Amino acid sequence: MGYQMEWGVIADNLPLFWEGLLITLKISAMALLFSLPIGIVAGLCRISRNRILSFIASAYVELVRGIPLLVLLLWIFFVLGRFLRIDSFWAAVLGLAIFSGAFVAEIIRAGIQSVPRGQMEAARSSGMSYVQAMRLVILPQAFRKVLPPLASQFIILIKDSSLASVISVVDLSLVGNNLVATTFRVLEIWTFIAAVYFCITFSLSQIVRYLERKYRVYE
Amino acid sequence: MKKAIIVMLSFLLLAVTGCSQQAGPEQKAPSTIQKVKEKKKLVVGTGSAYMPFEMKDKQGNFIGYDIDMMTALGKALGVEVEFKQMKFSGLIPALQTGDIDMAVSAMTIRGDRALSVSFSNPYYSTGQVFMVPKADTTTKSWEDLDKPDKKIAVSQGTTGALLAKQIFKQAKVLDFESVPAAAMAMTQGQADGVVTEEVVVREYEQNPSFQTRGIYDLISTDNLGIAVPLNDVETVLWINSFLASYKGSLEDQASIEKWFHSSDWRSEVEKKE
Repeated sequence: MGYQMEWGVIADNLPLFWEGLLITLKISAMALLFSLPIGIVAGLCRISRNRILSFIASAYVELVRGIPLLVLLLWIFFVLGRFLRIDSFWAAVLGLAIFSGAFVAEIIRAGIQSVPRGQMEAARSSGMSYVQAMRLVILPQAFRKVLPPLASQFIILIKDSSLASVISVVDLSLVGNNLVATTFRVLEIWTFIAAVYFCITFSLSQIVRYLERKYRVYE
Repeated sequence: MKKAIIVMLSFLLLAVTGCSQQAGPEQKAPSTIQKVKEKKKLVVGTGSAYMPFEMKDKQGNFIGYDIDMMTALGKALGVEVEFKQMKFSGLIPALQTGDIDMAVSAMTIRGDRALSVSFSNPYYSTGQVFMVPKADTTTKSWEDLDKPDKKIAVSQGTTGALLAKQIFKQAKVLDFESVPAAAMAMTQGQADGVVTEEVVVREYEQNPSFQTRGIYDLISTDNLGIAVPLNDVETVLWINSFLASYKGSLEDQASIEKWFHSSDWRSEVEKKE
């Protein structure tokens, strides 16, 4: 293979990469922030005794889980965007949050259901209301259990944010695409970008491991 | 935590140094033409949906002006031609890594590209123009849309994309993966204009589902060329002599007439109601 590596292309374009990295971080953080409440509400609705609430939540989870993120993003931008009048950045945040929310909902549901039934019965019989029992007894126990799968989900979310480039969000991967189009240094650019993504997700997983250790004290 | 940082750094180091192998002394590689003749097959990379240069008909066959020319080239060389569809921005990398022998995709001959691949002589001349929604009756030229609240859609990596980023100082330039996606963004109200090739703009103008209007003052003139691996002089010379005999031939005239001056081919692409 007559391809010679020239790493200068990375150094020359650091400001561009930096801008793309900021957008990637911004979009991931926003989507993460929104997907958590969406997921918690949907997860709680799914196990609720209210038939209508649980139906809506199940429909949301099944529908979103069954559509590829790429298609969801394109659909939100090209079809929904026409009525909502949102730009590509917010279309991407919305799409990622809705997508990730469905998986968070399942993680939350599984976490709550893993807490033994007796815990709820004990809390209720000691005079707590359903909401109080949930908040003070069930959720803290569930939280510890959902932490590892939630962390995996957020790492996936950060990686998935690269798909936002198809609707013209100038994130790290679109910066890469554009630089490849002008410099044609494919191997250098994608190696560098892979390393940057890895650094972000690896740092996140270290933070989560720290949290896990911290909460293990109560075991 | 310290251990984690060390692991991270060593990965980075590995990524940066591990693959920067120094290429050895230049060997005299056989030219593309020789390789193609040996394997009796010419693999041509082409971008997707760039009417009327290249597109697929209802049966999924490649058709278009570029396709006719390359088929004739294959015939002149006495080999079978295989068309490989890929993203436009992936064409030059595919040439560099040897996945394809030649790239033909209404590609503009440009200095920056010529550092990575070699070009034949021009086989067609066209230019970049501007397209706006039909509903927009006030825009007279691209300058009218160079305002902070305006958005211009382009197909990433194309000449139109680079040009738009140079000329639009205030409007925001949005990169899409293809011209159809850029045009769709405009039709859906997500962008106010599109910069792309004249021939393409004429196509969209004739397509009733897009409702667009072309502004045909050329923003730049582009010469289209066939791209081959860098410094493959023998192949470039061979293609140039092929083009010298092909351009202006009856075959070429019929092809130009078919793709650029008539719209009969449209029924081959569009589905009948």
